[in-house]
Amino acid sequence: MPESLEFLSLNFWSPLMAIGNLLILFLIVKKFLFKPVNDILDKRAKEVDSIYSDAEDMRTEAKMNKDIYEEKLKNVKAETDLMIKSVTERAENRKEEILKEAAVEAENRKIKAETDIKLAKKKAVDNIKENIVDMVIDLAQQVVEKEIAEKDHESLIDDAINKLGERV
Amino acid sequence: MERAIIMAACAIGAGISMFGGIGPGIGEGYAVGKACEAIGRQPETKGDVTSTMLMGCAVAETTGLYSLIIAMLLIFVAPGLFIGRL
Amino acid sequence: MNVEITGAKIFLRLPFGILITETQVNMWIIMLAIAILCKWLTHNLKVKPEGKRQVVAEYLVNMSNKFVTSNMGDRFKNFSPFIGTLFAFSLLCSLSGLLGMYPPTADLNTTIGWATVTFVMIVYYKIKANGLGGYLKGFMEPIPVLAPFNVLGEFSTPISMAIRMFGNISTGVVISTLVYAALAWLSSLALQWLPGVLSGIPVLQLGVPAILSIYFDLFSGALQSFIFCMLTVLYIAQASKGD
Repeated sequence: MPESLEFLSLNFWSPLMAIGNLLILFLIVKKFLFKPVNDILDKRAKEVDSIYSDAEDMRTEAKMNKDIYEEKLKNVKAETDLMIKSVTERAENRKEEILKEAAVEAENRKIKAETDIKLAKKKAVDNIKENIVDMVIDLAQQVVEKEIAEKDHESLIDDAINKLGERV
Repeated sequence: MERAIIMAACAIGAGISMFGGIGPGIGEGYAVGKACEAIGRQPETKGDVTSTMLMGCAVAETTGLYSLIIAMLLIFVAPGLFIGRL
Repeated sequence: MNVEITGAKIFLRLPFGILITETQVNMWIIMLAIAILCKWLTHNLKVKPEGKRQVVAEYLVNMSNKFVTSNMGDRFKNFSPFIGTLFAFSLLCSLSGLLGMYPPTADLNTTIGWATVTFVMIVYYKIKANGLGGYLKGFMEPIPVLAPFNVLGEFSTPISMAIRMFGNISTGVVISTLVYAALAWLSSLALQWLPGVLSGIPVLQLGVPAILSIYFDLFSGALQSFIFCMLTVLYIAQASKGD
């Protein structure tokens, strides 16, 4: 049986060897476990970051496109609004013009109608006057033919003329 | 005869020195009881409370371990030392 | 009945009083095992993990990183490998008792060595935080008369750490040795009537010590490793804060 240490003993070299062992193991573990695993973890974090930034880029790009399209849509709307406005304006103008023309024409027609009426009236009066003359002539003839009393003649002629004058 | 007396004295001394084990026993029991109370009050902090309690228990154990070391020295080292002096 | 409780066996005596004991040999075995384990775990790492090996390796590294950063802050992230090494080494040293080896942590020399490393780090960070003058002046507080006690208190940190680890593990060794001896004696008493060599078979040693082993080796070993690392971390973090 090999000799053993006392159960509770201290010597100078054994703690130093324990320290040395610990430091050697520390280097081993650091080199073979922590360094590769940390590298892998960093790499993965970087990859995830790059994926995220890509997604972010794509999102901003999509947002930009959306903005552009929205602007375009807005422009289109403004354009159509403008067009509609100009068209309606034109239509309005046209309407006013037509109305004005119509009014002018109506006025002209009215004037023409009035002159026509005046003319017709004049004509009618002329006609009536002619008729009266005819009638007077007829009456004169009748008077002449029947040869009635002078008093009668006078009253007849006055009556007739008065009647006509009232009628005209 | 002297050998026997030295051995006996060392053994008795080791036994007496282990009275120091009473203190950590009481202290740790108290700490664990308090930890149980804390867990009962806030069960969601069980992990934190448990690790802190173990930590505190380990530190509270220090005096007990000192007395243990004294006892061990008395049993394993002192007899050889004193008997060598004879 | 004769029970010998001894320390590690001495295998080789080198000049200058260097001893190659069971402690050293067991430590080398454990170091080799850890090195092989590390190499095996990180054999073929991929960015996208395939298989459980890489998951285990990442879990271990992450746990160590998280432990260090949550207790010391991000500034001490470089400490993670050291703390991880310390924990793995001390844990496996304590657990080697399960395999019937002499646990290196049951040797005061080992734990004193490790505690010295911690002590040196604590002092280094204290000097770095306060300057050499500030560190020395710290002993004079609150009054210069107390300087010897302050020095004693400074040294009690590593000593208590070393003794905590050693005491817990070696108690397990002592008690299991005593229990083994007692069980051998009991079984020889019980099997007295058997003829010849048969009476010498320690039947009772078969299952009973396993229960003790679970407490002293597994529970105590793991707890003490954790506490050793935790104390190292806390002391260093506290020292680097300055006064």
